[in-house]
Amino acid sequence: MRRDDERFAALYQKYYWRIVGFYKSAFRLEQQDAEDLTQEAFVRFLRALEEYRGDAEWAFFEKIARNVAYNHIRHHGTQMRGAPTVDLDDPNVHTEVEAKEEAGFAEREEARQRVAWLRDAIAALPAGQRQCLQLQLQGFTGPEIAKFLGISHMAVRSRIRDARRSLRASVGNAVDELPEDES
Amino acid sequence: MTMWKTANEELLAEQRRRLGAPPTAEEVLALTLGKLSDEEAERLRDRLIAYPELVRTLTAPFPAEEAEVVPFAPRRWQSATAIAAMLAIVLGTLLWRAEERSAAPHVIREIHLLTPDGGRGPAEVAKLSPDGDWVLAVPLAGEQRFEQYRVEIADGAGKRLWRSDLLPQPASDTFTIVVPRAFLRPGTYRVVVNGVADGQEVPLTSFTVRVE
Repeated sequence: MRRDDERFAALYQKYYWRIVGFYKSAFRLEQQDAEDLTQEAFVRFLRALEEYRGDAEWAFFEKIARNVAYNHIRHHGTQMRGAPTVDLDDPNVHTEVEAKEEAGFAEREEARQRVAWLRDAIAALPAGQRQCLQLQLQGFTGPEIAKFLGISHMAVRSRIRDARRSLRASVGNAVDELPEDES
Repeated sequence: MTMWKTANEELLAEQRRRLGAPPTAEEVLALTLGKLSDEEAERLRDRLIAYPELVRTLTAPFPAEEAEVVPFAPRRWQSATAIAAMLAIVLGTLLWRAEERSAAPHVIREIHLLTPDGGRGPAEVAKLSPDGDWVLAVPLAGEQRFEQYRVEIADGAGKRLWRSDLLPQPASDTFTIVVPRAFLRPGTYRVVVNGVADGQEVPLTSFTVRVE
């Protein structure tokens, strides 16, 4: 058996179920879908091993496994992990943007304008600050943001601090309503 | 939802409209493999931010590689010596149980040495005949070892039917399970070995069996 085949067989035997678990827990996939993706990831990895010349095979496999997930979700879509789901047609659901039933047009319009004002303030931030803040508002942690942007965790915290400072200059005390900075 | 999150959702929707479809899997693979220029990478990330569920594929915690993986030695658990040692333990156990239960010897007709799922080559599914009880010899495959283990049996839908107590490392690298005939109806089942460390259970190997 070639060295590549031995290495592949060892990784497959050892990690198959862990990768299935990764797909299930990270992306809320059903068992069958997770196993299908795991098979696909290992097949692509085996093919790619023939041309791979580095020695960080696990990191290489991780990129392939993530890419398989990306392709699947891009085509099928899934709920973002941890994102709240709200049925806006449910009469019992209220958001801060929706005024109470008895509120008039003026209050609703004021809320809409306030959201637009905050939206424009975020859009006006320098790109690095805006990216970090947007990801934080979507529920990503500091380490996750750092991993995605390819920067250090320290740099993420610094950019979010700068973003809050920039926003205070444009929207004043409204920045105090930002979610807690837990980056 | 706070006003800030609502504002961000509106901004994301606007970004999706302006930037168009999310990057393709090929573009994202090029990003993760470091094949894009800084400028190209920056533009791609900006497109991705508008699709948080896709960002999640790049940031979700991934299983870490553990201790050095040695090449898989398929003969490790199939060697004649290992099988003989295992059978000696199994038969010894059976005789002890037979003496415990009654004065007359009791024969178990089928002893199955299970083959792990997912191995290369044709799948080997143990077929259990409907006559009598079964003994399943469940080998520990691979090189990783844990302080404790648990063995489970699940039906074809993944529903757990039985779970062992915490088990120590078996001396012969093989667990033996005596399964009464009445426990499993005809169908396909999966035997799973989990490693247990720090209170966490990690699935290690699975074996498919079919009751006829």
